Amino acid sequence: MEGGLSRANDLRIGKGWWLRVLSSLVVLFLLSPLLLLMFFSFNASRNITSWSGFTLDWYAVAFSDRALWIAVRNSLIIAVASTAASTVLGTLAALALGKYSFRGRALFQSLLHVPIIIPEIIFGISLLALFVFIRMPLGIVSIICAHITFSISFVTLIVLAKVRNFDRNLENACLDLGATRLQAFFHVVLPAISPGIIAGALFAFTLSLDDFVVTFFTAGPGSSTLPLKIYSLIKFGITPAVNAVSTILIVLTASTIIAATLIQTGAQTSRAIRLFSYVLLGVIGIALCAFTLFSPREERVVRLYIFAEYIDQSILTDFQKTYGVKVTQDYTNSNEELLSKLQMGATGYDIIVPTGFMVQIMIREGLIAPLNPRNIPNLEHIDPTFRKLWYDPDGRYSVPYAYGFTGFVYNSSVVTDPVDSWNVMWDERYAGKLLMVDDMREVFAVSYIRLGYPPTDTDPSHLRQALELLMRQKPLLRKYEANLINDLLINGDALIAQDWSGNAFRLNQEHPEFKFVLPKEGCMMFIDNMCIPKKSTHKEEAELFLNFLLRPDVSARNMRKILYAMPNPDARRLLDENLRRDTILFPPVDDLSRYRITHDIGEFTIEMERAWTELRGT
Amino acid sequence: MRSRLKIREFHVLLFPPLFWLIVFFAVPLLIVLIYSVSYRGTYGGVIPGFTLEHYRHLFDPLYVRVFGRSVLIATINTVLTLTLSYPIAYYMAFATTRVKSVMMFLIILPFWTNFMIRMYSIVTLIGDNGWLNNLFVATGLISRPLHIMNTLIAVFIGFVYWNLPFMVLPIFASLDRMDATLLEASMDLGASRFRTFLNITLPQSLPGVFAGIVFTFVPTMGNFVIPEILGGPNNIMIGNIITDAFTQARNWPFGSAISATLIFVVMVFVVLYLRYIEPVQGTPAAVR
Repeated sequence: MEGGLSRANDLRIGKGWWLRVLSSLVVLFLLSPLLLLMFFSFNASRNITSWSGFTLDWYAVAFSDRALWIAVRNSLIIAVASTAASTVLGTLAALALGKYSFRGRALFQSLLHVPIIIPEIIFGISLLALFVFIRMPLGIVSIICAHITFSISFVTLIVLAKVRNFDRNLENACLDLGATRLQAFFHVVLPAISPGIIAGALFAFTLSLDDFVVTFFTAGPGSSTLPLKIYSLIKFGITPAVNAVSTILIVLTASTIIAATLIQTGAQTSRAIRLFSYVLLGVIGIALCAFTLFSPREERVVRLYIFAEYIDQSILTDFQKTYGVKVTQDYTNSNEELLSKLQMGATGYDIIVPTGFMVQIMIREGLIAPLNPRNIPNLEHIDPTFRKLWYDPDGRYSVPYAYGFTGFVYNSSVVTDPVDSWNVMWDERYAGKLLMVDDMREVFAVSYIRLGYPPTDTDPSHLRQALELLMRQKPLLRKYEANLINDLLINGDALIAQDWSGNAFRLNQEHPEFKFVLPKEGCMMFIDNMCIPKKSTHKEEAELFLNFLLRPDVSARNMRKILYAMPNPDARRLLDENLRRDTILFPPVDDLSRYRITHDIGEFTIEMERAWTELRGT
Repeated sequence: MRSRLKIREFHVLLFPPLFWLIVFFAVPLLIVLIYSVSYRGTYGGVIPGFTLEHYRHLFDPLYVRVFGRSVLIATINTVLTLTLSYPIAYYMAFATTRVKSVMMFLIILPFWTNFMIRMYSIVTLIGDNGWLNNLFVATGLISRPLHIMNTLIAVFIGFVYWNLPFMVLPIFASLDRMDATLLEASMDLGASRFRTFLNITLPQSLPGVFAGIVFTFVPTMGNFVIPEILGGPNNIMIGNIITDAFTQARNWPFGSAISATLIFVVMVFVVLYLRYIEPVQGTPAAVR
């Protein structure tokens, strides 16, 4: 291989200046997002679009975020294990393909090629279906199996190139001279193809570390990886803390690779550099081992499956200190995802946080267990308006956790007219500066409310009308956005956005010019609840934890942190004046009928889904 | 004696990976296929049975249109990626070993940062008040910020960014394998640089080009994250429909039917690749 084209250099081929310039530009294009994020990990402000001074604070934040490091640890365990296994399996496959021709070879080859190009989502879903089918518990092991599967193909293809270039006569000569097959393999074949194996392993490691979609579907309790954690964090915008972690990882991996390469190139590098490389590799290795092994196992645990940043971390540690029960958490991104996971048979979660309509579905599907009120005496602190609502008429299955509204936010320094109606989301003066949330039910609810129908309406002709109204709105929209609403508003890319109250409140705290409106026509309200899945194995501990959460002082602390209202009047009394009286956080809710609470629409979901696709697909 | 050992060696080599791929890849795909002909549960999941209703559903003009647009976007993206990647792969192939490894390192480096974070970084780069716009306005190159973010252009930037390494590496691999004496012979015999490229280099690189096209085209068809982050209000692709079917609509059989169709398309690509391209690329050097 080496120098195959070196003689071509005499011909001065491939040396044009424009090639150099173009290549540099493309590499710059590839690296610029990385440089940008490394740069911003030192930014003093939370905002990631403007520079406001140097700080190392984000590294301090990153280092002290325990959940983040657990995610990093999981990612590394999975990457190391899946790389090792897939490198072995892939190398075997490459040798089989490179050295032998056999019947069914083409079939075997397609089996190897398809995983590379199949859309990840299909891969993830089909693996999830398998794990459920063979009753394999979801967790780190299932993720490792998934990662091995997609890595094998890459390893095989990379190693195969080397196997083909390997001169078979060398092996034969070795055997003729009396070596055993194993000896020939380890002394002749393996060294010859090792660059391919190393490249393949590197590739597998990289893929595993970066994978989101497949991991998302195959993850279970206690196995959240860094990409999963980051995905759920992005809902609140990327903070420089995430950038800081990324920077640490880039530096760590890059130095590992460089050190490994320096050792490999051997004689060309000076002894000092090689020595340094060995030391560096050793230190990284020891650090990784210590990091992975150091994970104390408690007997009594509660496994929480919850939206990211939806609970104050210090409450978890306090609970552990008080009762000796450890709380772990994994992150969900939507009610539908939660439902699919439970239906797919995901076990091991002890507390989940579904929204009202989902509680109803879960009760009907027999997925959640009734609570024992005697174990949760603090239920008495809950506002009776929020107990025994339509989705759980006896209040046996759920404890209301937090609630909020979907209204809209506007930039009052630009939008000076009085705005109190959804009509503004159809106002042509703000064309291109409007955002709707990327959520089917929320978007259609606004349209239904404007038309004067209840959002739970299931009349197909009303759905048509709602769709037409939204079709008229679409040309004015910047996009349907799920995660970056606040960032787009701050950057000035949007002026008015449909938004959730908690999100809006957070924005308002830092940028007071953004005002939240609960439109006069009405708006959607959601109530999130804490429930215990039927398959929970720590029901007692889970109830203990629920009770702890409802304690007024704990609940108040939690509210201060997550900035969503909780139906706990005793806790609210403990809040500071400005928070307690805030109208975004606590609009008057003496009468819940003023707000539309999301109901499930059953079979009609399919019709709405088609309309939703039509809206965005034409 | 040796041949028996050889067979045993062959079995040791073949069966572990084969077994793994059957259990963790072929069987899952089969399950998806079964889902696609089952009945739908109202709250997700499937009810056993046999129906082709979900496949009939696929011919709804709405989905055909989204599919067509996905193909178009994937095609344009593949052409763009190829145009940018070929020169780099070419440059790398003729460069010194040192430059080769440095370039390789730099091209793989982005993968060590989470995909989402890279995409959001691009948002801050190309937004209306992003770094590029600010830079261009400040240097007087343009008078008003370009509106790129949340348009199809932004989607293409995202896709090209994502696919570049997958295109560059295979092309580089086939160019790097090329026999330099051919080039010398060609030029000694009086062919121009351009003619040498057209008649010698280009044909030799075609297997890599084709591999790159496959690695770029199909994953783009199935991707749903990039149009969601960088696109506008109507940039959904077939991947978004699959995701929605499995989540918001709770219609697993329909999602499976689209998936099965996509798998079929992928299979066609792979069979074509194995039949026409791989044999050329795979010829051992000694024979050639």
